[in-house]
Amino acid sequence: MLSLVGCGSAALPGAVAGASSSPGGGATTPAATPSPLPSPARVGTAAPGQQIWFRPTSITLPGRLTTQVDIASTVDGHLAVPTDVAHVGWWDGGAKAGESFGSMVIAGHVDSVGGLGFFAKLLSMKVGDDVTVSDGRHQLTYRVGSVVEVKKGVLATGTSAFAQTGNHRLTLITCAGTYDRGNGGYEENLVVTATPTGPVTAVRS
Amino acid sequence: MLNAVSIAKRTISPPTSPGRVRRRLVAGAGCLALGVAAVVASAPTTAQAAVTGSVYLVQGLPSTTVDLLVDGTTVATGSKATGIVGPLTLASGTHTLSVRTGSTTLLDSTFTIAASTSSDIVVHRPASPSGAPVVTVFANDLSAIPADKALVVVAHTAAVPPADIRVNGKVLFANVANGESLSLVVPPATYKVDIVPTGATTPMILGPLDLTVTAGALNRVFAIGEPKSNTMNAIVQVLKLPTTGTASPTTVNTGTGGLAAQLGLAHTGLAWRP
Repeated sequence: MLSLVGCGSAALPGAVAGASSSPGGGATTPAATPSPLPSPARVGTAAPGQQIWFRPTSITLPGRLTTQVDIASTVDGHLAVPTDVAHVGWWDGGAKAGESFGSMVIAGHVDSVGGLGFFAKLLSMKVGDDVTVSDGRHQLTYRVGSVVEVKKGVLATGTSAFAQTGNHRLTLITCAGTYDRGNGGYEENLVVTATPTGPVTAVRS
Repeated sequence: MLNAVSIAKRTISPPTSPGRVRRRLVAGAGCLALGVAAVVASAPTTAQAAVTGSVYLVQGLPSTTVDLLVDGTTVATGSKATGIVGPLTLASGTHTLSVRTGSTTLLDSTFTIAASTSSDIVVHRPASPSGAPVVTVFANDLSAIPADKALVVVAHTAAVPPADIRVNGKVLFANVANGESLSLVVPPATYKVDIVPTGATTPMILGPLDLTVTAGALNRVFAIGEPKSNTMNAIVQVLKLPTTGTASPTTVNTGTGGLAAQLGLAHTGLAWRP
């Protein structure tokens, strides 16, 4: 027979029944009912459909051109991409590859005084091209949906290149347009936007 | 040594009328002896971190008021469904949770925690409505995220079969069984959330509810209860996370020297139009 304590508590199936009061007339605290040996708690697990997302460490453009992706932070309002123009940088405030929402931004120099950068390749990219990012264990391929030039002053305020709302997309940024040496260099940004072609998959070793 | 640092409780009000009621998930007053706190930081101090872990006890049994004991010490009395106790700092290793109604023991359960971890220990119904209460330990991922992003983790701890959790009408968490959870990073917003059987659109198991998701935080949602007794409910727990990442830039200067322009490569002929 269960003893019910408190308002509204109902007997639960499987609850342990037991004595509810102390024996005799002594002023002893009622002992808890003897119970079976404690059983181990279950361990919560991720459901099989758990989405994977990852910070990219490499990027592959059409023609199997692959390079390292470093981390790029915003410093004094400027995105500090790798000074080595052979590498590109993933903006640390943006989405990771495989998230459901937000732009994942990877930016890199189109050139330097020493030569063309890896992202000079963006200048010849077309709608329908594939771009793959990886961290060595996972990979995700995106398909280019647009290639546009944007006046530099408009990139941040007039596009959704950095927005973290909206469906997940990959945004590749470099410089383009007229180069004005005396007035800040390139006048435009080239913005390539691509959307995932499927889920994150494991890299085949 | 048990150290009850503070009590956090985030609840929703039980439905006041049967059937589907649009409810807002809000923080509620606690019924626990040790007081109420707001959003709680979860990390133990550096000195303790090496040999202790952090746990929250989550009362997911509908229509039941329980006392909670850890290693024989009472940490909460009169805890109703949706109550959260913690964070409690415990030595790494194995501990015992006892769930009692008065002098009746509902269950005794052992759980093991590792140093420098945070876990939610949930007392809840198994998938079968006639099954005895169970305890499931869910690890809390307290990794840093950007300040304008939110980690949402939905856990199934209700007496229902596997379910889909829909957000603004779209299945974002698919096929979650009792004892399982799914994580997702989302922009902060208030979302309409409902739960349906996996692969189906009816019957609606829970919701629609308005869920306000907090940025820079782990937003945990536990589905609890049992449909036939009209006790389906959701527990919301918000744990602030360390932040990482930088703000969006104003400019991206990615070209010096002008070589690409010299080579005639730099004009793609694709101008942006507002």
